[in-house]
Amino acid sequence: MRKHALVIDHDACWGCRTCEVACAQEYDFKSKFLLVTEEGPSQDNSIHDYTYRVNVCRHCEDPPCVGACPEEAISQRDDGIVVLDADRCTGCRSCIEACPYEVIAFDEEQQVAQKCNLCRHRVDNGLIPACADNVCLAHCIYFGEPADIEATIEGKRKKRQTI
Amino acid sequence: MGISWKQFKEMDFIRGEVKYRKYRTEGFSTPTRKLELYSTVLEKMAYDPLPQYHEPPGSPYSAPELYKEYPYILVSGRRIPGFFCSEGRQIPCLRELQPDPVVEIHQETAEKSGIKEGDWVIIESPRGKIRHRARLFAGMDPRIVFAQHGWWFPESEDPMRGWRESNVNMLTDNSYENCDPAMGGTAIRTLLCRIYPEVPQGRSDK
Repeated sequence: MRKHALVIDHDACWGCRTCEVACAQEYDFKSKFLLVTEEGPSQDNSIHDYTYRVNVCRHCEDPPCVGACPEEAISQRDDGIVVLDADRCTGCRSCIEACPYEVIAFDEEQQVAQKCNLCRHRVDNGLIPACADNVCLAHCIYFGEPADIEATIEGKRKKRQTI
Repeated sequence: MGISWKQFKEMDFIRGEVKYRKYRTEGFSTPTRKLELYSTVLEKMAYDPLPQYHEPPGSPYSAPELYKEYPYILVSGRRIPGFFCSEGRQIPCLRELQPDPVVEIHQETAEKSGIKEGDWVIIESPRGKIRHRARLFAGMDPRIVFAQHGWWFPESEDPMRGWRESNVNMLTDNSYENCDPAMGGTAIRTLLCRIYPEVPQGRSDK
């Protein structure tokens, strides 16, 4: 099966947060697995640096959350999607500590961990995840084969002369 | 347009055919068909046909006495992604992203005025005052106060939906003198203001 990846071109993001709304909408406004944060402005060599960061599960190559979960509630599918099964989650929060991107949230009401399952209900039906479905005003969220995405991003950067 | 929805979704944007140097065949869209530095349209309407610089009425240079009392320059046109002007405040998933009106000020300004990140503050001009939440931002000039526009509160019980509370139009000047004589535009980025915490220091913000 084809390997899926969600790649974010952070150089292009300008913080419109449409991806957040698309994610919330996909889950009937009950959950949101994605959060845009701001970094900076930090001052380096008297140049102000300021960026936006799209915080969402990267579906890592070797996901530390999978090993961290004592209940085996988190697993990686053959196509790369890292899925958290809320029914098996006991709320120990080990995965939250293990995640290097700090993108696993805790649902206080249900007392379970929550993360992006890469809209597997959409992907399994030939669609792309809600946040990557051309909602982003900067067109900076990509879904597909990692190599294709890298080529597209590089092409766009060349076009706007940022490399 | 001869494209399908699927094709459209893969595009960044749609635009018509781009033609360069149209002026060579069609001229410019002015009465003389020339590039007019001297505007014959403005001349016909009895305005000065040449571009000129006028210091705006409420600026540190044109109103130095007022500047002593209102020591910051208010820029009021800050765009908020998710909202369009005053639209969208009533849509919960958009409002969640931007629950409160936010004014950006430099750390230096905040320190001088006794304002901390997230405090409710009063922004005041000679015409009125509004409340915003303070956000400290190092990437701007300390002389500037950067407020959002278009605020109202659909959740408010007030029949006017609380628009007077935080709308920057309470601070702008609609007077004849302040309007551009030809276009009628109002100065919305060159106002003088003062800024201070809503509650005196030492009290909690509840």
